[in-house]
Amino acid sequence: MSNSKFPLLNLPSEVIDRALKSMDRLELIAYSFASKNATKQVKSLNVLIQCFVTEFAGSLILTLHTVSARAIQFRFDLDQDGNLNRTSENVEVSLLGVAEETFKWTNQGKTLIEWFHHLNQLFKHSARMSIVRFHTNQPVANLGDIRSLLPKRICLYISTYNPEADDNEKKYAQRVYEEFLPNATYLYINLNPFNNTIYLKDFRFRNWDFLDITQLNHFRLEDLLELNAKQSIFRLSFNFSSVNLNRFMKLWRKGSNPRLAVLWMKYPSRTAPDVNVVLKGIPYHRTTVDELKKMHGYYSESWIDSFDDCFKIHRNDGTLAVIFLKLFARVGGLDEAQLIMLVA
Amino acid sequence: MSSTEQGTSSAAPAEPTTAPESAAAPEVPESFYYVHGKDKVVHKVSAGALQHSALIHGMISNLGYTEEQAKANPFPFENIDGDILQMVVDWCNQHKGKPTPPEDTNLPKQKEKLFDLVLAVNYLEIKELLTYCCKQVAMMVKGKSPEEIREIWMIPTDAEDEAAEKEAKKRAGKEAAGETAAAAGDAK
Repeated sequence: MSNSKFPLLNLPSEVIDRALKSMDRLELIAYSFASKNATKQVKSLNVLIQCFVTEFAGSLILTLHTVSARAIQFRFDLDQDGNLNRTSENVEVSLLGVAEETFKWTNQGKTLIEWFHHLNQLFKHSARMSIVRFHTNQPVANLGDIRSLLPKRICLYISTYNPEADDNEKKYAQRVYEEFLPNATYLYINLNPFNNTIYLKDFRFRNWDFLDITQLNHFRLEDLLELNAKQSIFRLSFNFSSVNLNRFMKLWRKGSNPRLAVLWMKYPSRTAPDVNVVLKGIPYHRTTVDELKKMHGYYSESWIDSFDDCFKIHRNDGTLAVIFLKLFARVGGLDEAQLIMLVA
Repeated sequence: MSSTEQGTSSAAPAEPTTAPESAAAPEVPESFYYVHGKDKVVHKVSAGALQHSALIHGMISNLGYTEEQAKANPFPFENIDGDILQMVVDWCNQHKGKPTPPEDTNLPKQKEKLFDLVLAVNYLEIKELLTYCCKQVAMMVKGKSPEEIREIWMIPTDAEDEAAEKEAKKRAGKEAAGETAAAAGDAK
């Protein structure tokens, strides 16, 4: 392409829209910074992205996940206070994927808050969920400012890499949890800095849409019965006994945990559940993955192929649940067993 | 291939010398139409090729011109440069009756030419070619920063937009005042 210029805005508006729709998300974002009118144009295209992730990991990282294209990441300098009312000297822009590409942009004269708002407003979010991720070893002081930026419903990640969290990490994890709990309906949490229990403030009796709990080493049957979550994944570091699972399923059949749609429990393999105990006294029907695949939703996904056994049970009101069992899997270098209960 | 007639002097398109051997039924002879741009150079194009252009297709669909009538009445497109119209005619001929490929790499690389081509293609309503052109426009800024895009596409700054808006309002106000004064003069 020669070096001359191309007066885009002298084209008819429908042609401009068509050209903009042909662009990749990254170039659309770059164009949106050209002027206020350009921002309006991009917004009016109603382009879809999957979700928007805000991450505090020493720097501020904003990531836009798209449905079919590569994710786009913006990385900004962040001071210890987490002051978002300042500008970052440069902005590192990356197209994520196998062959990652990185570009340097100027800060466009905008503060971090202004960047956050600008990127958030450009596209429609298909997930309608803003993901916020904190790392306990990279604390940010000004959590109140961050919370004020976020929508009412968020997906909160509290990540820890250190298996032995120190006091500072514990305090920071607690602060993050308490600050963002009112907005969180999805929670991904590593319990290392929380003394490996879920006896956290306001955790139980809360309406969770999704929980992913790692490093849980104390969990009673009562905790499971009090759980009010649609979907839960528990990575247990201890044996949640087959007897307790049997009791839980019997109570579920009588009507407990009515919102439960998915319960996924992962254990160290030496404590794999014994199916004869888990289903003792419960009318069940052994089924096959092929049969289940004819059903909708999760059953059509490929991961169920790896399960050893599956059983159908029914609640007293006729609601179907399928129990999947896998006695051994090697995940991240660890041997684990898995039990999944999917309610139809 | 299109046949280009320089004014009225160029050669007529070559007629097929042999009939297809295995033709099951006699083929309906293809009709041709004539178009010219700003440079008055006349291009002979088949009706099949012109089907790409919704505008021209609409114009010719009910005409029922004979070859002589079509030749005597070329469609004038005075707003399209001759070389741009040539490109359009060539593209229509190349893609006559064929499914269009996902990409077209034969579009002009010079930005001025591409700009004129986009305008012409949009005017002539050639949907597939417009899609290629728009992709080419998008490719111009692939991997560019906001500042580079602003420069390549000549995007005015917010201050320039505001100044232009003020100027437009001022002009509209003056015109409205002028019309009021003229109406008052007429009334007297």
